[in-house]
Amino acid sequence: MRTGAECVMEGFERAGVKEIFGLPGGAVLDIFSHLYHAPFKFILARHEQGAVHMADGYARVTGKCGCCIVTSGPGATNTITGLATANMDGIPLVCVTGQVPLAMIGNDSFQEADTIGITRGATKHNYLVKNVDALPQIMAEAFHIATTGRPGPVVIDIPKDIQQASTSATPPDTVQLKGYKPTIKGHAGQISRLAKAIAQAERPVLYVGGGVIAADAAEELTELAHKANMPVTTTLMGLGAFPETDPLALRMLGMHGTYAANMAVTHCDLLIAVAARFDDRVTGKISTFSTKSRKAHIDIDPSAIGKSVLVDIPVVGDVKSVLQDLLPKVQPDEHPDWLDQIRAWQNERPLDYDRGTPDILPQHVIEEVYKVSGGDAVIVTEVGQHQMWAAHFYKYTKPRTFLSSGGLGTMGYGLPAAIGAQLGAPDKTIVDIAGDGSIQMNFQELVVAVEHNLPINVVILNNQRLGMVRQWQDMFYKGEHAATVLGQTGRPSNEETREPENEKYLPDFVKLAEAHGAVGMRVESKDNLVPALTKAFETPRPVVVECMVLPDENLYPMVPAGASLEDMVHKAT
Amino acid sequence: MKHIITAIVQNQPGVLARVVGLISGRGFNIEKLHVEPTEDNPEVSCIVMTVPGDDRVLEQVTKQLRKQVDIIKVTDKTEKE
Repeated sequence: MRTGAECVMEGFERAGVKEIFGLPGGAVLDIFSHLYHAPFKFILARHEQGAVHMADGYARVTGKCGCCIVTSGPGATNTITGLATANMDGIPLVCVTGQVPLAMIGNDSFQEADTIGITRGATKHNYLVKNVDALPQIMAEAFHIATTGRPGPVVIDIPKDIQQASTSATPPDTVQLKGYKPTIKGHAGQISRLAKAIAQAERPVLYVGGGVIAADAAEELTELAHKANMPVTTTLMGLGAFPETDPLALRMLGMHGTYAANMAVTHCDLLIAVAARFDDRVTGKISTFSTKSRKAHIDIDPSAIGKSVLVDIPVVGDVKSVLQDLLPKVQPDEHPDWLDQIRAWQNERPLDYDRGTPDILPQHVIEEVYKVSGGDAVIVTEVGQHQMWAAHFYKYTKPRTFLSSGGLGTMGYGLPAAIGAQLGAPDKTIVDIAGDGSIQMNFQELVVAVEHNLPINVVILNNQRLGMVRQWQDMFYKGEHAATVLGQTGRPSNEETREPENEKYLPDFVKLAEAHGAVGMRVESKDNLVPALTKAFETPRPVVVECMVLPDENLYPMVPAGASLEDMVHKAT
Repeated sequence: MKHIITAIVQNQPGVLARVVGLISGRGFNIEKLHVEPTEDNPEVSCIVMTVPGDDRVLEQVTKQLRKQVDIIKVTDKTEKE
């Protein structure tokens, strides 16, 4: 006989979990009393949102399922942003939430929330455990659902009396679910049609998404690209699936994609979507998206196929398996004219910035991060202009080296995710690229990095603005900077603050870092940038490097919302 | 077009809420709904709904329903008006 709490521990152990993130409370006291003796490392976060983002960063960098345990009521509701972030990006997480005793559910009890109802839309699946005998099976099912098909977060809500109750039920050896059977092997006929289309194409493009990384299929993808000489563009989530230093790399496409990538997609005659989902940031106006091409779509999620863009050759299956079946059917091929055209586009409008200015430009900071780290770091980002510059000015060559909230676009994701990533990849240099707005959202987690000796580097591109929103206000909202000035001066009249004693930015990030036990540095001149970054990456402690960058630098290229990909706006020369 | 959507689902609390949530979450109205356990297997229920709406979007909704863990089978019959 084991208690429910023991079943939870056993479930984690059987799934091979080594690290768990979370925060205790009354409704999970029984589980935590077992954690005290358990073989797992437990990371105490300072906010449940931080715990979930940590588990998420850990999962992205290791490929394993991230795990967290939180309490009922506000503990559970604090996880929603983290769960929704993971749900949008397909990240495997198992999150155990405590709940009030079964008989008290629905009574507006202390620290009670309708966790199942509230998290239904933010999770791949969720469970309310009403019978302790079902718990061993549920634990096994949760890991199965989280890590198979299109991965995603699973919540298990366990009432306190269930945690305390005893059961003789044992965990299953395998999990078979009637309503859930992801397709692994692709249809041979469709794969043959795709091989034929590749042979016939004169201007093919591989459009690669995060699914290639989730499926560990980067090697197969690279082989395919090289075999048939097909240029590769990746989404934000797919960065690192194909080496960006490769001559066939078009780099990122979409709203803030490169000129060459967007032109290639617009003018290609065969677009092969490899585990990507035709997201609106990628397609721009759908009616004018890649109109000259036949389209193929390889995806494990049948609901992703034909969702927004109609496709001629759909292939449902695990992308690694499908590519393995496809490769022998594809003949070596060359497209010299097409590659010449692409090189012309790349030379016409490369990603660049004003290298002569005395100001520190955010793009320059990213480029130096790339050089100082030897291109070998794991880059984590917050959300905003800096996130896009991190995609532009760092070249990703390996999977699981770029961690970013793509689908939900969650500010505050980066710092806790970087902590989880460092735990999962202790030998790598982890860099969180942050904006001054985003970094304030979960700054409190920095102390966790200090306590656990996780020497992350937080590089704040401080432009004293909510930069992405400010740029949209300049382009589409008469330049009226409503609520986007974070600096103490220059605010609109109805947001005016008291007369500042000086124009210093608040909060003082250097002092804030030191208050948390980390090292703080501020870079105010270009000359100090490389020495500061070098010192930060060498320091075996968490470091915050605040770079005071030019406030109103704009991000280009940009495809305005609702416009076609080829109507990119470029920097005025 | 009025769509008649039939879903075979696990007879468990929360499953109906999930089905309804996916449909209403897209702004569709469920005009008629009937749910009862199947004769051969009381652990499994059959939900029949009448949902008027755009064909393409409902096709998407049907695919998303199929993806759900507790939903075993989904069919959509469009009623010719």
